[in-house]
Amino acid sequence: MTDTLLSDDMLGSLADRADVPADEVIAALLTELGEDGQAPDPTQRSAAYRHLLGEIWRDDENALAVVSDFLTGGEELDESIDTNQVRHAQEFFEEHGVAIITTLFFASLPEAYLGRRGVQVLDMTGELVSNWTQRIRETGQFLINVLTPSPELARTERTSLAHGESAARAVRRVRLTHSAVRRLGKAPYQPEHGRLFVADFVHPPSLWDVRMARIGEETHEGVTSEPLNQEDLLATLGTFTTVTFEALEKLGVSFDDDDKRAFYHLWNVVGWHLGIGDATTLADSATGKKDSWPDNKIFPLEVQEMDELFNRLRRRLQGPTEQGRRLAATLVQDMSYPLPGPIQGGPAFVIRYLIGDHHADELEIEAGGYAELLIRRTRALERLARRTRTSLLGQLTLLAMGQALTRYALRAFQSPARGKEPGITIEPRIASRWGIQTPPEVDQLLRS
Amino acid sequence: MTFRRSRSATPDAGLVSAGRDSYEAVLVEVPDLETIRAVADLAATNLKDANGNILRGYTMLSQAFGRLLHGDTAPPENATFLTFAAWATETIRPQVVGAVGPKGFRPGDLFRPASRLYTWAADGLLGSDDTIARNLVRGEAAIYEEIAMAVRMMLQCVLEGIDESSRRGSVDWQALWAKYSLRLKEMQTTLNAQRDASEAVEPSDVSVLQRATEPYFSVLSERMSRWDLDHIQRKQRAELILLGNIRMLAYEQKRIQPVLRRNLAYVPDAIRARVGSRVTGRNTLLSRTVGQAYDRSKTTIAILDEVFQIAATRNVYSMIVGTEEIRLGRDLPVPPPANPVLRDRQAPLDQQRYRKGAFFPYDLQTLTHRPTWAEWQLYDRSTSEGARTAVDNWLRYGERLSFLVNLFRSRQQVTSLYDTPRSTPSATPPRPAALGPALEHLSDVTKERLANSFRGSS
Repeated sequence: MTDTLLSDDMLGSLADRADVPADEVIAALLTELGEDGQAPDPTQRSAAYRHLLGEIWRDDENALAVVSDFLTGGEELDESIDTNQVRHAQEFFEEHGVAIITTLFFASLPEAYLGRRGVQVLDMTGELVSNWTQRIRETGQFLINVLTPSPELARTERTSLAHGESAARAVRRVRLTHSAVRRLGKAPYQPEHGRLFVADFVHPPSLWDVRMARIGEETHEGVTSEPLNQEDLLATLGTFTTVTFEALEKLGVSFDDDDKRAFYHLWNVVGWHLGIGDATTLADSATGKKDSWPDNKIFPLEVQEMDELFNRLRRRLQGPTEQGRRLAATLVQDMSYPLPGPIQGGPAFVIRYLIGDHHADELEIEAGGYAELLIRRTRALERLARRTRTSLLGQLTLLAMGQALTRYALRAFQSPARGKEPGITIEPRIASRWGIQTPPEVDQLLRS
Repeated sequence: MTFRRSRSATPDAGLVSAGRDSYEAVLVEVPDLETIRAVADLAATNLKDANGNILRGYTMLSQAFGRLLHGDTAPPENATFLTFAAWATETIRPQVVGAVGPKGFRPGDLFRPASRLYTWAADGLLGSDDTIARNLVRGEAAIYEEIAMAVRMMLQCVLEGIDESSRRGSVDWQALWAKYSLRLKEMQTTLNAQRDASEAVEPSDVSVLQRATEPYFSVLSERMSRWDLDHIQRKQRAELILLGNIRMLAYEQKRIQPVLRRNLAYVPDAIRARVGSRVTGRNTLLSRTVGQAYDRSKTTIAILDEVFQIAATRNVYSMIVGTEEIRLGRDLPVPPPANPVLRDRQAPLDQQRYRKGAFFPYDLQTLTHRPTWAEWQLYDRSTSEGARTAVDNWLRYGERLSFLVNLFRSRQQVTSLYDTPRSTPSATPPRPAALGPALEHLSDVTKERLANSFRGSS
């Protein structure tokens, strides 16, 4: 990493940058739909948001051209995608899928909930439908979609992340959703009754401004950062790379540098499709990156670069918030309730082990009783993890425990939520390899 | 305080048309702002009286506020934060008045050996030391000052507003809210003038307090403070009051956290002080060796401190709420009206409000009001009705709040919560003869408690 790549000042300025190309698509879509994107009434703004989502996630012949053209875009990156690396990463996921999903649910998501600004967006969209559980499932589904190879591409030179393919389209759909959420966040703040001190910091405040004020975010001359800005998106990418491998190590999973490099390469491609480092958005910014990918000023980031960058972002962005606690509590509840009573404390214990006591305390993750206290304070699991790869005891305890919890949770997540919303879908071949039974209703759907 | 239907209230009349007459007694009976503020000074000199005044203050405010939110009918359908606060104050009263400690064998001790052991050890170790009681009362006095003033000011603003509206014919709720908000802001200045920096009320605290009282205000402004609501409106009111209760609770628990930390550390610290002065405080080989060993075992000491906190929470701490004594270290049981064994002995109103075996009352089985659901999701960590609500360590804010929000939601419509806590000094109604109508709705257990209360005070 060069000394000048994404300095702290530069990272600070990324917080004011959103995503110009995606925002333009959403503006065009709003016009086409006849919706008023600047409606002052929050209810009207919410209705427009739902309408936008309906069009973004429409996957049939009636999809509007402005959306489908964007979803199939990204051809310029194809040359830079290392097919072997992506395949390697997806095979690694197939082999260690349960462990990787364990890290995603028990470490990556909780770390993402520590992002003081980033978590506001997750909370805001969860609040809109009063359903944080569904919000968590959507994140899980996104990760599985991105990391699962497309069987039909197995004998071609393309991967699921090439332009127009399933994973690339899924990522670009999320990018448009981000842009729709930005619009929602800019809606005027209109509480039923006047609130003290709100008027003291910005005029007139938006929903996002008020959230930023509540978490004590600094403003520049009364202007707050952008929702889902470039800095926050970069930090989220770190939770799916750096945090994943830190957690895999704690779980005693075997991996080498090639596995890590391939996995990071895959997420670099995902980051590119998500619009992180987009050259139009960062037109006048000097990031210090040389030899970057087309139309981009940040990628590719090597393993060491990503890890170093994420650790700086951790210091800059992470902290306790009400919204982070709410999502963490929902996550723990969702992972706990499918388990038999005596081990319902398992998910909280594993999260605490993987992200550490300090972060777990910030999210108010349960700390348990005598046994958990003894295991945590004596650091018995860390010692065990160091020997796991070579010891049968480790294989039978640490790894087995984490994976058993994840299998239970995945089975529950596969079932339709609230009887109507879709559960997580996992490709049957991979689900079978992981030892996860597919519920009949999902199985039938996949076969049809 | 008596409960009676306003003579001027008609089926479609709300608080406004009921007029000020039916509420004129409210402000006379609840403590005024000066009396509330005087409690903080009293807490520095007389723990017992301060606790008594707080208990009486919360009880009277709870009755008056409940009456305001429910339209002057008997007894209020939903308990407010103040109602629960009165029971919490009642719970700690024995510790404050020095009623704890070995008093010979009681049959109940057989079921709580750990609690008995703790009480015996703490009494033997601390003797007549009242540090914990002092901490508790000073902490609760500071919080009482803030919360009671905020509620008293709302009562006053609303009643003044009704008085003005009787001349104009309608209530300007926005103007009332603005006036109330301004008074909250002034309260911060008034309180900080007599407090040191460590206990100062920050603007953010006032903002949180304002947000906490807003749902109660919405009950009034949305004309739900009436006795003739349909079941949908009753549910809306119950959810709004639950929202206010949870927000108030979160505010109170955040403010009281330092007090809990000090108190839970006190017994281990006292043990260390004794050991330190007797064993390691001398310049002998043995003392030096023990001292060095202690230095090297900081991790073990930290574990032992936390073990003490867990043990105290699981085996000793409990809370009195209405007719129940609830253990903090155990999952919350279903409320008495839903308990098949106790149901028949509960007030008929309670039996109507709770289904047999259900953890929450009908009105709060599901939460449809989005802000209430959002607030609930913030603190609830249970996996189903009452499961995993047990607290391992009372010092942990998240676990504590999960237990308490479940307690609040499950007991919000238990009639006996509006009973007068047994030990409330002079808390019997000012006009005992008027107690009749309220008694009609009370269970036998409650009546017995009230009778005991009268006997105790006479």
